[in-house]
Amino acid sequence: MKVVATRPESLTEEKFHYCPGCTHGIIHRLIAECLDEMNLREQTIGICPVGCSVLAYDYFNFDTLEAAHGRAPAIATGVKRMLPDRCVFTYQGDGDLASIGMGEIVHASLRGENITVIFVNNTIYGMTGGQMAPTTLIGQVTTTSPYGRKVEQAGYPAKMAELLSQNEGSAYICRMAVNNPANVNRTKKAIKKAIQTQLEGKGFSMVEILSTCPTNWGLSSIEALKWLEHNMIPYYPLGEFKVKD
Amino acid sequence: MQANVKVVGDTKKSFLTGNEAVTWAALAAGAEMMFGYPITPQNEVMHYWTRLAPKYGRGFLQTEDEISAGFTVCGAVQAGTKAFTATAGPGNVLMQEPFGMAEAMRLPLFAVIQQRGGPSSGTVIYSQQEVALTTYGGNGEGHRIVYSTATHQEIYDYTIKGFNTAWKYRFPTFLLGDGYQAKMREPLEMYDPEERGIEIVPTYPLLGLEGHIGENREPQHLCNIYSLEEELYDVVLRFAEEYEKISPELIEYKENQCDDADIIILSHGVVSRAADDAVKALRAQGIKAGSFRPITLRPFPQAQLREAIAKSGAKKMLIAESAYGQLDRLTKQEIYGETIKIENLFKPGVGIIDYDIINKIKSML
Repeated sequence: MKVVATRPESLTEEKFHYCPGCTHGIIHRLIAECLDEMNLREQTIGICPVGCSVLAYDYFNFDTLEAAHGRAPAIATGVKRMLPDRCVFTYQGDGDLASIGMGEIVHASLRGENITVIFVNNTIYGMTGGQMAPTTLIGQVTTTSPYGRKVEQAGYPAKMAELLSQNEGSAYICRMAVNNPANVNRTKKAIKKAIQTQLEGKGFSMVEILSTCPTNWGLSSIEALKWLEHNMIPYYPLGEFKVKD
Repeated sequence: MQANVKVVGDTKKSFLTGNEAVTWAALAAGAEMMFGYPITPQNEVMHYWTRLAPKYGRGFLQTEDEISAGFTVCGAVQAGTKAFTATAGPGNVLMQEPFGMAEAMRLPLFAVIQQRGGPSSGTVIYSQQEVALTTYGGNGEGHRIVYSTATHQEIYDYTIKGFNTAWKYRFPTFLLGDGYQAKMREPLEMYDPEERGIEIVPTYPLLGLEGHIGENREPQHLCNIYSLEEELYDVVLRFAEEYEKISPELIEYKENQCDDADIIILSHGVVSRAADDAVKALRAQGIKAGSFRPITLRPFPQAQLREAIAKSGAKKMLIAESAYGQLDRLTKQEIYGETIKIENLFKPGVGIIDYDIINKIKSML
């Protein structure tokens, strides 16, 4: 029998704890494949987040450390500046990155920190129980916007890729999605490009990845992928927003 | 805002989580506004509040983090609004900055703390490890009022009382619960405060007052920074003096069979329930145990605890807590000079049941 796919060496054998239909698993695997293919596993340091992917360090077969809520870019700054030869990335959700950690992410970008940020945007706080996130869409029902997010009350969803692409320190900023195989492949290429940007010392890189949360959206796995396509992509367009030569 | 509308109506028996009890009590107390940020295990306070608040004309804002949640409360109470927040663990750490401001400016801030395991992100489950932070956190002197609850009925009662205390005395006031109390269901009686003869302390604005500046009122310049050492010194001493003066009115505690006790179990919050069960079991076995529980951790019932020790003649005391000595340190500084032998049962971030205490007491005899 011919083996066509194997577990990337950058993933441990630990089983993912994620809910059915959650796309964290895909994104973990993409990062692992990229690091394997770029032969970076042993020189990578991952900064794991809070929230559902708080246990990411169980799954990655390389050095990882965990940051407090929102502070991953600050921790990554400290690590990267002391160990400039390492590949340093943070893995952050939307509440983490765009709410409690908005200060840290903007300043890491402004400073042109030579780190890579994997930003998983599923428009909701997963682990704490489905609260409104800074990226929650207008009208979207969450546990803290039970009657739907209203602009008058909670303002507008944050477009982080667009926002951070304005900063001079940002070298590579893009938004991808993992709702179908073609987009998964594009996401993988983008992650590689972001890491390459870091290896070349060009500055701050971020891949925003539109992701699903079937549990807190109250949808099946397949419905969730469709919901992402029909609701998220129109508001959060895919593509590259900043590519520094 | 329709803060005076009756929320509960006739007193009713209910079966609620502690977070739900906080929400209903806050509504019944006339709270007008909540600011919050997601952190387990207090999330359901926000969930219930966002569902119920619009029905009673109350407001809510989810801020970008806990620093902001705390400071928005500081702003809202200065505008005369009965506002509050709820948090836990790392959120409680971040809120020490606004809590310090509330201490410095004597703001009637009320916050519910549902303790989770620490340090740092720790666990989302349970602990009593936020005692030091809640009583003495920040770069100040701990001029705060902290109620440590043990039952859902107390969560309800002390949420109502907490708002009143904050607005009456103008020291930041905290309800210190924990993940068990937050998430578990228990029967309690809900009521509107006026049904029990509880007078709601009125709110009033410190800013945006009536009148014309320079004509019939001076501009309000509310500050929390001073140019001279002596200015600050005078302010802090005044706070300390006022805090000492009101402490006897605020102190609350529960004492159980300490009169003839050979050994006293000291605990607070939910652990005191295990202590009371242990006293019952130990007494049945002929061991004269008693229990003492501070309800207010700040101000601490130090005179009452000294009295319990004196009248019982107990030679030993067990301090039991789901932390590594936070209540222990607080108690020792408060009863300095007592010669009673103190042993401890520290289970940081882990629950304590009667069995744990009974075994420990027996090992002490």
